[in-house]
Amino acid sequence: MFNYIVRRILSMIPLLILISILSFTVIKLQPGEFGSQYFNNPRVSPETVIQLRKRLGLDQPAYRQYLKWVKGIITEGDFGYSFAYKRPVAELIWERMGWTVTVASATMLFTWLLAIPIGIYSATHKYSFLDYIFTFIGFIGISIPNFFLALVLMYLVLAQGGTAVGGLFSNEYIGAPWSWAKLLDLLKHIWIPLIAIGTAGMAGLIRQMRGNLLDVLGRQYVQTARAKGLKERVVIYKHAVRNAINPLISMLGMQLPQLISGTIISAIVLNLPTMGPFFYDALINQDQYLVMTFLMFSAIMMLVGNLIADLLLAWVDPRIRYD
Amino acid sequence: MHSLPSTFQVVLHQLKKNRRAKVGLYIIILILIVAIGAPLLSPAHPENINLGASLQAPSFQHWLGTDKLGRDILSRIIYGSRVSLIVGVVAVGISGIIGIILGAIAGYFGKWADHFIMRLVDILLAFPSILLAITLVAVLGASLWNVMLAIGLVSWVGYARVVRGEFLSKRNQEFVLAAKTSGASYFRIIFRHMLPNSMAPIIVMATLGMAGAIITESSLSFLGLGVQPPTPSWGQMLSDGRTIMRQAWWVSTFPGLAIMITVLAFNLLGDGLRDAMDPKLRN
Repeated sequence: MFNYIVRRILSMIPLLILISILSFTVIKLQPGEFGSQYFNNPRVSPETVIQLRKRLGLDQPAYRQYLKWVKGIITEGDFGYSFAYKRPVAELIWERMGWTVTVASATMLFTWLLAIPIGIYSATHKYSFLDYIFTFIGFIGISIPNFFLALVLMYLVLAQGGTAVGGLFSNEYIGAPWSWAKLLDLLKHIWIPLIAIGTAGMAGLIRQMRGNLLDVLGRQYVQTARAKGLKERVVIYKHAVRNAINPLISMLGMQLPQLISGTIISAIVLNLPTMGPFFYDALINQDQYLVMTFLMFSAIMMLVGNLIADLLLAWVDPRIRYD
Repeated sequence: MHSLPSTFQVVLHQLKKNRRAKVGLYIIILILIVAIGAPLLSPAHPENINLGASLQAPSFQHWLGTDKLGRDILSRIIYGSRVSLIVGVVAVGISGIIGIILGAIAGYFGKWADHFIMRLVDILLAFPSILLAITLVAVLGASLWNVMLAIGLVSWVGYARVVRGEFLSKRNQEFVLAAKTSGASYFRIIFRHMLPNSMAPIIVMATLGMAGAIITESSLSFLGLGVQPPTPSWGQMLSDGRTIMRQAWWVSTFPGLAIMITVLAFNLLGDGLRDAMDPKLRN
């Protein structure tokens, strides 16, 4: 097991190098760089811009900029400097990581807690009225753009006279120390992002769970379990569900990183203090090291997420062994 | 090739029994008619500005209301369907072609070709596709063509994996060996013999891919990275009304519903196709 983990982690290194080269190339395809926006600014003299470029290292060829960036990471753990914020990139990302992970984890918890029971119900009550309703809601959930759902929910709350809309806190609690009132305020705000961001994933999970369970319920060992007189509850939860849930666990690792960076647009609509909107601004501003670092973070999370999912699967499913 | 028509007929027969797929197909046909007949069907020109009639609620004159510049929303939605469908078709075409060719090379030749292509797949899989699409369009510049290109470039992985898997399992089967022995070229074996036998999952993926591409396009347009105004697109219309949702709910809501219904139709059809092509579900 230990060997397996080490091998997997080592195999990530060449992949990450390739990913970083590719990301840097893509960013460099963008015409101009951070300095160019000042060329059109009459208040900034061209000499200043040239000086700025030199100071930021943007006058050097792309491969040297890349090598310098990599060298900084390896030798000093320095992920570079944000041009727009004039601060180290790692610090900026770290500040936003907390809320990003909180919102993403809460969303994931919410979707799994709802989707698994609904999936089990739909499979065990196939073609019942509620199964049709859930299937229908599922199709809508997959088809509605999450930013549109976010907008509709915000509108509905406002139309009802509510004010807990946009962001994660009311104004008076932003920056205030933690208290029960602040937590309550958070709960009042967070349900909109949970539903808006989570619905599509939840609909997918319900469908998968339903399909897998139906598949498993048709297997012979389920028939055997029933034939030897086990209670239906035991047959379903101990024999069928445990096997039906395994394929979902292997998807788990990709979900968190996908939630973190895949919801850029709904986070903009909902005015969330998360990574998504921040990344988008950096991209538009050509803040290259910020963009690079975020892309790399995202990739590392995805790779580590997959590894964790594989380990989790081995832990849950005794048939899987890594040697 | 002789088995193909019969497979096709079986699928068609199954599809006719699938109510969901039929609903999806009918909606898609309807949207297609709307997109093609846009100049005849829309009550006004989609770019006609009339500041005197700005933000009017839905009425007999403007069925779905007007936007900030007094443009008729129904007409803009009708014309917007063209953008969504074109982006969907072209993006799916690009990703399908890239995916099929790379998947076929990987699955047929194996060894280093497979290794190389699968590394490429690993790299793409390390990013959520919307993140890559946004990055690409931001880098390449906002335009219709770049949106199609970006969506196509980030979504071929699924096709490549499916085709590779199919080819790996088929490359030592009798019909391929027979073709090889009779001296057929690689090209012919891949495109005439192996690919037609792997079409079923590709068609399902392409249909569901249309749904995904349309959502991604609307997301990019919403960010201002899509088709540039005044050409109407649903995502951009949705974004226009975003800040005035309270005064004029119709500006955002109707384009949002248009996206949802279109995506729903492709999801329903794709899902139905998958069921129809699954021998396990046949009765």
